[in-house]
Amino acid sequence: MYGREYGDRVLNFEASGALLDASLVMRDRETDSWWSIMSSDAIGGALEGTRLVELPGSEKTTWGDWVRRHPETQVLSVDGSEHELRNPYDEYFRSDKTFRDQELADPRLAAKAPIWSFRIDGRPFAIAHQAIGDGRVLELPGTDGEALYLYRETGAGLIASTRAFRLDTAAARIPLLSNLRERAARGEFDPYPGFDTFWYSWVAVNPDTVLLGQ
Amino acid sequence: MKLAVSVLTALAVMLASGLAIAAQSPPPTETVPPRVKQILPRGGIPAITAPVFVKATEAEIPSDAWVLGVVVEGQARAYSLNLLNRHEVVNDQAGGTPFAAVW
Repeated sequence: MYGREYGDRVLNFEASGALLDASLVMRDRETDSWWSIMSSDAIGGALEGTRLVELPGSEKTTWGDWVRRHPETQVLSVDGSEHELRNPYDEYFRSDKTFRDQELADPRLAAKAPIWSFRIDGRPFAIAHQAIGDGRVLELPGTDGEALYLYRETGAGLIASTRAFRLDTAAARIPLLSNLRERAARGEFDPYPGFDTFWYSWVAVNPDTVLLGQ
Repeated sequence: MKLAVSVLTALAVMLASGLAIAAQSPPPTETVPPRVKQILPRGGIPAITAPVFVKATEAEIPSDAWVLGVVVEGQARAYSLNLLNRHEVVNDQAGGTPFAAVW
């Protein structure tokens, strides 16, 4: 999820129809700038160099789970439909093939290894889903003991979002992960922005990624 | 997670509707950023700019369907991922906060 206010403008984004390596490039209708999701900034046009404003707090989950926790939710409806049964990407998610045969630029992980990716002051970081397991505290390099708390719901499936929260120094010292999860569920910690993707897709655009948790 | 592969859907839609699929080159005066390749015409995957919503009780969606859920300014929104496959980007606003939901 991204903010749409840049300078004194509110932008409307759309898919450009173009790819950077194998990843989505958006354009905005107001300035025609090019925006890469993977580099998280404008890579061309009038706003080149502007960072995308990443908003925390979005998650991919099942409708049943979402509506149980947010019964008042509104649901997007397009031409009278709130859902479509067909998903042309099932095979892409199941297979170990990359999109358009994109080559793996960095063999630290398998091409289709699912990761959670994020930035600290623009620097790219990643951690494999496998290394997150049921929960993990990562100390943030370059901070005074601050940390991220990450977890994935057990058995939630590949598409489900990794949950990420920023911990202050005191909270980061708590060793009991189960306690952290309860506190996160109660809303005690601020969510931290980042997204789940496949390693090959992220590292093609971010070759200097710091890979954590290995 | 997918962030890249919606061009497949757009391609399928265009094939189905009999439209030409030749990638439309940007105007010659336009500078395409390095390493960026135009695969589909701009607008081939139509973004949503005026989203319409229904209440949860009115939504027809299976409980095991994947959604992108967000809470902005206290307002919860859900977007079916299968529905987003055709649109990729929803330009939305909650309270005074304009935001883009991107799949």
